[in-house]
Formats: sequence, C-alpha cells, structure tokens
Amino acid sequence: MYKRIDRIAMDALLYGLLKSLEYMGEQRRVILDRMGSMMLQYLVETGTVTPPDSPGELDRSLRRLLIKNGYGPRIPLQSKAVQGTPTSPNLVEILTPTDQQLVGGAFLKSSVSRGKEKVDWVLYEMVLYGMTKALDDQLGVQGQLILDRIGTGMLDYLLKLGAIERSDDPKILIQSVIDYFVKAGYAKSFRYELEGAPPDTFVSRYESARYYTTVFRRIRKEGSALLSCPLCLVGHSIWGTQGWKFGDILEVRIKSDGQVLIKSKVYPSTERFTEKDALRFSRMKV
Amino acid sequence: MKYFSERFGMGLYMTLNKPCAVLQGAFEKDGLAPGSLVYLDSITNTPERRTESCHYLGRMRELTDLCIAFAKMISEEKEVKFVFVDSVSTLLIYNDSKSVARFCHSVTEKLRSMNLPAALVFVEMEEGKDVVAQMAQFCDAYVKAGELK
Repeated sequence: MYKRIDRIAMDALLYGLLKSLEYMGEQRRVILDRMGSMMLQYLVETGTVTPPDSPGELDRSLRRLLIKNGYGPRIPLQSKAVQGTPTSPNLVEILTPTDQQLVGGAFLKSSVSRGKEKVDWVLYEMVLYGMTKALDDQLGVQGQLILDRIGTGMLDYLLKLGAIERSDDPKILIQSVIDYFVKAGYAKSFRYELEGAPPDTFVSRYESARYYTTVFRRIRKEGSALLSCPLCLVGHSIWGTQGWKFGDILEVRIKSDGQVLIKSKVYPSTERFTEKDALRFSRMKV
Repeated sequence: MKYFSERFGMGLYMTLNKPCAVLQGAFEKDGLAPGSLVYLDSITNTPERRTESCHYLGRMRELTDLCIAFAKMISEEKEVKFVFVDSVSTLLIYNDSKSVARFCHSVTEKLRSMNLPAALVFVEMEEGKDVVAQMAQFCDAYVKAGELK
C-alpha cells in the first residue's frame, strides 16, 4: 500500500473543502473547529502522534510530523486536551496551501513547483477522516452534498493547475482524473462500469486503495453513511454535470491489501416525482 | 423541537438525515419530554417495521413512496399536531431539484388541507437555491436558523 501521496492532491482537497464551506455561513467555523479536533484524534488513535496525556510530547511529535511533511514554517501549534479529546483548531490552517489564490487567472508558480512533492498518506487520511466526521456530526447525511461540492472544488483546482487536462467529453475528463489519482499515489488502479439497462448501478474496482482500508472502514464502523473518497467526489462532480446522482452504496468488499469492489446506486437525469405523481398524491384520502 | 412541541403539542418528525435513535437521544438530553414526537425514519438501515414511536421505512429513496408513507402516518397518528421535515436538502442528494420542489409542494398542500402546521428544514448551501426560491412561494415564511426565538 502507498505510504505517500502527491502534495497537490492534499492541496486540492483542502482548497475544495474551504471553497465548499464558503456557503455555510455561521456553520463554517463550527465545522472547521470540529474537523480540527477529529483530525488530531485520528493521529492519536492511529498512534501517529503521542497521546495527549503528555501534552508537551504531543506537541513535539505533531511538530515533527508536520515538519517532516514540509509544513514547518506554519507552526508552532497550540494544541490542548479537553475532557480527554484532543483539539487543535489550527491544523486545517497549517495544512492549507497559502498560495491557493489565483493571481491573474493562473496559480502562483510555487503551486506548480509543489507538483513533485509528497506528503505522508496518514496526513491525507487525517484530513479525510476529520472532514467526514465533522460534516456527519453537524449535518448528517446531507453532508454528502458538501462532500460532492468539495469534489467540484478539487476538480477546479486540479484543472487550473494543469494537473488534469480539460475536456468537454465527460468520459475523457473522468479518465484524466483517474490517471491523475493513480499517478499521485491514491490507488494502484481504478476501473468502473455501469450495470443495468437502463444503468442503475455504478461499479468501482480498486487495487491498493488505502482510503477504503483505513478511513472508509473506520467511518462506517462509527455509523456514518458518508462517502469521502476524493476520486469518487471528483467523479460525482463530473457525472453531475450530466444530471447523474449517486445514491446509497449497495455492496462493499474491501480486502486488507486494498482491493476494493463497490456497487452504488445511480440515478439518471430524469424527473423522479412527476406532475402525475403529485396529482395522485393530492387525491389520496388521509 | 421544544418550540414546536410547546406551541402545538405532539409532532411528527420525518427524518431523512439522522437516525431516529440518534435524534431521540439528543432531544431527550435537551429536555424534550419523551412521547412528544413520533418519527417517520427513512435513514436507518433496517427493514420496514413499526415501533411505538417510530415507523422505520428503511432507506426509502423514491419520493412517491415517501409521500404514501407520510400520508399513511398522518392519517393513523390522530394526535399529531405539527410536522417537521428534516431535511429537504437530503432529498437533493438523490433527486433533481424540480422533483424535490414538487414533492415539497405536494406535502405542504396536503398539510394545509389538514390544517397541520409544518416546518421544512433546508441547510443553507448553494445546491438547491432554486428549490428554496420555489418553496418560498408556497410556504408562509422563510426563517433562518437563529431567527427562531
């Protein structure tokens, strides 16, 4: 399984996250604070950093991890433990690329030069876990709408950076996205197909897909129905432009080596509550 | 919920977003009297079944089926004095905005004919802004969270 992933993939995720929360008004801060806590909790529970019973050591091990991954200039941290739950409201800010702003329609050169840099997968997992849990806690299932919007932001970032080639053909664009994520170290391979006539099931097959063996398994066990696989979120965004909607996961098979099979319900772009349905309902006696 | 419960009495909580068990726990913790609500739960992953306080629908995704289950529940639960739909945003995950707006219109019309007050919850986000605009035409008021005191 991969141990590192392209920094650009991490930057795209954080860019998409912050973009998607812009519409959230007052809830934005609450979600980001919760996310910070859950991210640190993930690092502690996976043994990546030292538990908070020794706060000084927690700060030091977190600092070491961040410096190792190139986030040195933006620390120190001010983490603290509250009722046994570690909190670190600064983590999202520390990881967020400072050069995410467009300058004259193009990203700063420093963004492009980060293309060959890598970060530890565990940091990427930490962000995915933190944002999924925070959205689930605050919004429940409707958090999926925000997650899908994160996919749109990620796609936007990757296109503007030139990491993915633009195409008006959704299938070509999706293939570029798959190629990018495989090259970035997200999974060794990814294939998809549609089942049913008309199609009603989306089948995904991965090799060495670390997200599923770590974050996905964990959030499912914790009762969340949200899907935050970044490749899926970008895919949802592209399929969404064709009116497709992704529904419940019907079947999941995850092997410890990261081989994954997922079948999800898909809905084509048709009206699913017609005037006829509305009329029938209005005539129902209650 | 306390706001509605104190003003109207017993309510029907249609949950599409968080499992009924989670909501019940949270409401009781916040001081809502047990038995103040009956639930129509379309999110808990369970076969369709009925308990004293909840009708579990499984993960029902068809709006027509939801309408029928909803109508059946309000006709059976004569004590229900208000309805809370949580949330319209969730419907947008699986449905186009036109269908969702039509569904909301149908539900509100049905409730109006029964003189039942209701609140339809919508999380403020860009998706479905058109649905909010359409709903504003057939709802009596549009209230942002925090303004309800």
